[in-house]
Amino acid sequence: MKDLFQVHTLDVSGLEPCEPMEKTIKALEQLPEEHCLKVLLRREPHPLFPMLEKRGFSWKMLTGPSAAIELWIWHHGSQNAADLVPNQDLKY
Amino acid sequence: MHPNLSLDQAPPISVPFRFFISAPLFGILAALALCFYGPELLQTRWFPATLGFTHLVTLGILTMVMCGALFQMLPVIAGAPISHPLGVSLVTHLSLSTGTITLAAGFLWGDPLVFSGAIFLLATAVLIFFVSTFYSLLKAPRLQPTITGVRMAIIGLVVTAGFGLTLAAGYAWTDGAAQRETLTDLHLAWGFLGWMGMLAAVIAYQVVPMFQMTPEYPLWLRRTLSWMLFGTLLCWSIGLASAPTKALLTLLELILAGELTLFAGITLHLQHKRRRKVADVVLFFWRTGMVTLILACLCWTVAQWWPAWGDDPRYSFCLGILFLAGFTLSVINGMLYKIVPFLVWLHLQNRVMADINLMGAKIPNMKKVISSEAMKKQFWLHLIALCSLLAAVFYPDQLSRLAGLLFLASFVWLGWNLLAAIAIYRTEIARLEQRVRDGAGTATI
Repeated sequence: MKDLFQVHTLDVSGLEPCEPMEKTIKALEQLPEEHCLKVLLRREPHPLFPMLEKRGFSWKMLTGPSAAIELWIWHHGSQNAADLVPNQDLKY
Repeated sequence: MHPNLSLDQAPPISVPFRFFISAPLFGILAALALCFYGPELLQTRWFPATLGFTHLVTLGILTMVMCGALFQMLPVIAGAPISHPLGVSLVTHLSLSTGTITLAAGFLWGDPLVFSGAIFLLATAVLIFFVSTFYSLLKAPRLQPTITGVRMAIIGLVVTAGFGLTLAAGYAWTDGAAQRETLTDLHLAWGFLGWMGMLAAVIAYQVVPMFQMTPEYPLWLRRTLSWMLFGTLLCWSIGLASAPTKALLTLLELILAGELTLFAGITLHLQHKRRRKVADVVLFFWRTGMVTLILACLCWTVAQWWPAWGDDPRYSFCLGILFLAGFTLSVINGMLYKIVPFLVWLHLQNRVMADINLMGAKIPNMKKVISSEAMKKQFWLHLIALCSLLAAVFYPDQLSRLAGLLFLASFVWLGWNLLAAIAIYRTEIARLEQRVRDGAGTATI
């Protein structure tokens, strides 16, 4: 069973650029290895993706029920964290 | 992971910045021309210095910023990067800058050789820009309304350039192009509506909700406006070039004015419904732009019904000033104040994320890149300059040079604010590089 306590939710959908990315990056600096960060956004954060790649994170973008975009981020290679991500179709 | 996203596709910061920082320089040149010629510049639209002045504004400021913004935004919104962005942008920028100055000089001196140089340089700029951006857009993995609109705007630029270069060739190699008035009307309509109006609208779909925290533009508008604008403009052009009936052309012109008014009205409505009710200087710029766009459409519509106004030389100046200095310049000035700080922050953040030695390093928030007080003061200066220029159409002897001086101050201030942003970027990137060299670990800078 998925442990919801390992999923940290960050709602940045009401913030203007560049705050959503700033807060996401700050949250990722403290994200434990086996945990997952779920970010609620209004728009796709295109410039964030290369940064995630460089810092060794994986991500999945979903259409969320409470915001336009749900971005799930976890440490690359962490299978436990990857298992926390809903198995839902991607937006595209 | 996004399946179609190519990583690190944004161009180096120097690519858009060389266009952005050139715009105020051309603004200063245009303002100096207004100060120098004064009331003469506002007598007739056919006065050579007036034509030179207008092209310093349309090519040197407006097209310059739009090209730079597209080089930056296309890889992100279309998901397909422009090949060799440094080289392509350098050649485009050089040929556009030198071509604009040469064209303005060609109008002033009336020298066929100078006109020929301008034709070559501007044709090079448009051709390279068109090929590189259109090729990138053809590779776009997703077909959004914005991408369709940008494609149409770029076609609009090519059509505008085609008519413009034909007119310039008329000045260079004959005593003036045949059907000069018709060609000029087509050149103006495609430049104002097909290139600048279209691009401003489709870029607004992205930047207004993103930076001003408004609701999204309605999907029906995003899907239909570009097609309606492009289609109406095409019908109007065919009508004008063939044997037109006045009633049909008037109807098409009213539809065009209605489409732009609809866009401006919806933008103002969205801004009214924005989530954060904090007064932001960019909002002021965009509101000024939308109100002046509505006024421009009104000015145009009135001319259809009231021939005395349509035939008055002051009409074309009012329309041009409202559309170019009011709508396009305000929107572009406002956009620069969001895009430039955002790019500075983004490239610094990107540098931090690329190196583990920079973990935890602090960089300035985008609100600290350009002081909001400085932006606000420049906005008021821009607004006063705009009002003075409009009033100068009716009182040229008293106000034209004052308007020139006010625009001069406004562009100097804009340039200064942009230079301040570049200085912050250089200082910060130097600090980050120093930290990497020192291997300072994770301590906060």
